[in-house]
Amino acid sequence: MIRSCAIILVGGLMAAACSSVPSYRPAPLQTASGKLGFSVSGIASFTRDEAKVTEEVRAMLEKSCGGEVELQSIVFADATSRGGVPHLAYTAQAECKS
Amino acid sequence: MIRTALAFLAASAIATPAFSQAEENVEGAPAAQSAGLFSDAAVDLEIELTRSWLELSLVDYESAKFRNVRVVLTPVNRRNPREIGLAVCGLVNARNRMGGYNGFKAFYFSSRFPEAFRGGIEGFADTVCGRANSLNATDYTDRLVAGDAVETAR
Repeated sequence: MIRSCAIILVGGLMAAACSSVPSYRPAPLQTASGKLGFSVSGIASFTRDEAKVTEEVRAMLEKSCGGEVELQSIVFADATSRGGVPHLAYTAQAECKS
Repeated sequence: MIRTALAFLAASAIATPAFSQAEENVEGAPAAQSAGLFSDAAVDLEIELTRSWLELSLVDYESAKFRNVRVVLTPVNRRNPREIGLAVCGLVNARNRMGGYNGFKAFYFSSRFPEAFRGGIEGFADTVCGRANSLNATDYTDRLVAGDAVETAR
């Protein structure tokens, strides 16, 4: 029983550590048109898939806006470690549509 | 002291509508005096409140030097990211009790925060201001300098 719990716990921690979901909180901003928007920057770990990260970032910004967003910019920078582990740094900005 | 009292009196009357102006604009209704999320009056009030707080917090406000003072947007409700307010961020270097300068330190102030966390020098300044986006490109340093700088800046 204890061994099972330990395996589940370690497995959970490893899965969390390997997750590529960005965990940074978006910061509010005023867009050029004077509307509410949000920006977020961070590092998506263990991935170099820009399309996947873009969707994750969009979802995060939509959650902050509480609805649809217009992604105004998203910039990626390769943050792969010296050992070759892939990471992707990003900075994104979006305007809330509603 | 009178200025401080007046500023806080004004805050109690106007600070609460500061966010409602933002909300109105988010919902599409035009805000008074500005096409942005916050009116110019709301920004001016936040600067005045920051000045009042610094006057009370610093040992020698008259000697204070400021740098990079900006107005930023900050979330004020963790459960609702759309609920935002204004905060003033910058660097301040003022004389201590011994009469010497300690070097520039980051400070923040927001009238929308709970009273105990309304303002701080160092401490939470990095948390509040670090990733925060500026409301505009204006440098409000002159507005906090002691003397008649507030009047001359307008």
